[in-house]
Amino acid sequence: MERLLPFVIADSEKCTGCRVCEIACHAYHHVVGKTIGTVIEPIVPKLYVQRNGRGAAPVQCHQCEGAPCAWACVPQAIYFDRGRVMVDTTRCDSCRDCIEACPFGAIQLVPDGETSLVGNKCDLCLGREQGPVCVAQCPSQALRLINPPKEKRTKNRQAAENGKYLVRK
Amino acid sequence: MSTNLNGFIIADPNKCIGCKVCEVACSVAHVDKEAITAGVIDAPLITRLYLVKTATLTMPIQCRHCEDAPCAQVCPVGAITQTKGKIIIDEAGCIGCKTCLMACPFGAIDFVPVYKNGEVVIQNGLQMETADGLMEKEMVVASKCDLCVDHYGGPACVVACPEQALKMIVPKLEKKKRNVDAAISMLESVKRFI
Amino acid sequence: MSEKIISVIGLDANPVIQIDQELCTGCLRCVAVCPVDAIEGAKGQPQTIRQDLCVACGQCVQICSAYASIFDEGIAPREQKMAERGLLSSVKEPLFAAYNSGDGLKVKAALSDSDLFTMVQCAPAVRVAIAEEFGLPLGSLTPGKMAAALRKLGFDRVYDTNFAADVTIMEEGSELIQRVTTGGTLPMFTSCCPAWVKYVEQTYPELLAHLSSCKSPQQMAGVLFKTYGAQVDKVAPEKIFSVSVMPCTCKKFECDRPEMNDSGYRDVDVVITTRELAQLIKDAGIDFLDLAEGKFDKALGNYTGAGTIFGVTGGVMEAALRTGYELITKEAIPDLNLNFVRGGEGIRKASVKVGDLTLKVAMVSGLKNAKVIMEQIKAGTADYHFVEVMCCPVGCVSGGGQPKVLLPSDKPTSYANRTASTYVHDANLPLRKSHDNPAVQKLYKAFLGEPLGHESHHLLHTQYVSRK
Repeated sequence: MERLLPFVIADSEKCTGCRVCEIACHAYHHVVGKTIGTVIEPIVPKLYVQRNGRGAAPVQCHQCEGAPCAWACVPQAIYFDRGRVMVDTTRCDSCRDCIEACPFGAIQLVPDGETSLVGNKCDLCLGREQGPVCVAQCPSQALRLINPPKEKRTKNRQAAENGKYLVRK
Repeated sequence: MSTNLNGFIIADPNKCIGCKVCEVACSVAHVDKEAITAGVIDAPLITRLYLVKTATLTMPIQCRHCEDAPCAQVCPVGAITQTKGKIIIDEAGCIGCKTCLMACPFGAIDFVPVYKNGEVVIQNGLQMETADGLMEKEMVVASKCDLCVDHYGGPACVVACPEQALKMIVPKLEKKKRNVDAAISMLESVKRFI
Repeated sequence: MSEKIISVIGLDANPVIQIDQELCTGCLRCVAVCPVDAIEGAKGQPQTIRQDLCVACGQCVQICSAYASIFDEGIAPREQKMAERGLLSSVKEPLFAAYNSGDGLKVKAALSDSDLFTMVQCAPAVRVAIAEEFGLPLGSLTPGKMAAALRKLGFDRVYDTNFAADVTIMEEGSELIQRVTTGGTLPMFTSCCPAWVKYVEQTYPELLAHLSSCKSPQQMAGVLFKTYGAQVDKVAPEKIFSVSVMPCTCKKFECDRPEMNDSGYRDVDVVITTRELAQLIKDAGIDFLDLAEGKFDKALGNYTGAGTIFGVTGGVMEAALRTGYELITKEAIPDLNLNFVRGGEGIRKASVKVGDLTLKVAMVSGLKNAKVIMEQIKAGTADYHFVEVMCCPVGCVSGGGQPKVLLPSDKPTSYANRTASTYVHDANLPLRKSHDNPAVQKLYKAFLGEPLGHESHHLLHTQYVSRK
């Protein structure tokens, strides 16, 4: 397991707001065929494309080390499992405290069957060998699964390479 | 309006020998007890500056205390602020979202466990699925150079470096010094041609 | 040749393709695939379609991923959007910004009108894709289930476009031979793709004489339904309601062309897409996967492998060569599988020895590639006898009305699988050359006379109009 929980980030310079990531996310997590015609429930993704006048990017869970959503969850339905923050929908009582707690709005309450609403958030496509499907399907390659310690070390190295320019005799 | 720029520590890669004394000094400066010998340390060393070794050089990298600190700007819970010319992380407020880690172009922020009295602090409200069933998860928070704001004697790394490779930069003074050096050097060159 | 007055009716009055301004994200993926650059708008802002340029090919509809989310605020309710799009109220699938007009309600109404005698035809590309809407793998070949579903929906006659494709080969093959031997306008272009035809009309009207005068198989079938079909089935033609199921959105424009009424009535009353047929089947509560194999009605539904390969790029050419070779040399072509004309998106060229004649042919798929050939003609450097043009990337199997894949990475697979199934179907059919089709032979003997004869000319050939 990673030292720090990986998560998916978006490059808002590349993102066009096309929503393929949302469709792919729904397709992976629900029983559907290969075509739109086989989708019989509303699309309910676990990441949410945002657009303002200048650009677009999806928002999704940061897999926070101190997950405030989990802290807020009274029935303790949110927990860490295999390197991601997961929602146990059987324990969720739709209280919405997790929505209040998450500063990114990365967790939602969505229909589960006819009558209930349950917590819904990015689970890094647990069970998918090739990793998150949103990353794989984005037509602009705007999404990336990042390994935080590796990101940090790469930037340290880059800063060190530039270090010689900063000092004077 | 402040006319001062935040100070920060920079290493000279020409002097650095990659010994990591700075990392040790930093870690020790931030533990909650007086430590003279290694045998007293009862928790892992957690440094806030990070030695980088490449094919051609070694030098530690640490926070630049940016004037427009991107880490502070992206923190969704406002846990990073500027106080008395230093960019400081409020560990108690940190939720571990790693946005600041991604925002920092130098990789100056890492996420680390917290130790108190030799024991790792766990989060009583957070469960984690492990091979042995559900257990509480360690607390993990953002960590970076704070210019030893709470450490008596100021930045420990600068003092500890055996090669004096680390220097505390006061930007305005550094700039002035270089202006003066450049002017003098200009004078010397012009003299040669008269 | 008598001149008919043909009125120019464009898409402005009745657009086939539209973009929902509330849903469009301005991601510009549609702009990238539009072959005529008809989509306008700034990045990040809703796009609009220039209906004067649009050829209604529907590639934008296929690629659009800007869906109406249940979490979107400030957009019209789903029921309203569905009504605007002409969708059956039972449709559950997501709605997207780019969409085509819906005609499923008209078909449903016609099927429950006991006064009407309903005849239906399906394009070759429908039978290699419709099963995808019911969860079967991409490119599943299900002609039997398709026929059975149409029967169960209540169509009085389950005829087939592939039959008409065989007829098209008789007419077009003869036309090509006539042009080649009597110094007619060459190269001759196929005319079965309505988006291609509209493109020539609006961009190169001076080259309209190069288009074959043959109608498309859809329109040939339509006019035959209400003339020959009326005789065969002993029905008054005014009672016949002619439905066409197509992988193509532009066919909705084609059936409404004012001149398409040589039967004395609208030759094709309504066109629905493959997706709309699947929606009708679900609406009627039919379990598609559970259907036993059905059959087409022979008179206008019997077809050969040559007819079914019309759905893929190179297919019309291959069908034409299988028959043309025999018409010219009086001998059967040695190998029926003309692999050298098959392929993917782009321009493919070939030289075929047919007796003493070396026939130079080209197959173009992807409308943007057709411009190359048109410019060659204008420059006088085009060295072909016959050119097949299909607007959509790999032919009709990749058409704007086909089942829309969820994931971009599945698009190439859908193309490859549907194409492969088309050739498998062809290879396994008892008859593989259009002129061997007994139903076609009967049509000529009993009704049309000869290819390019008087009846054919009146019913099966058409004229084009400048839209510049």
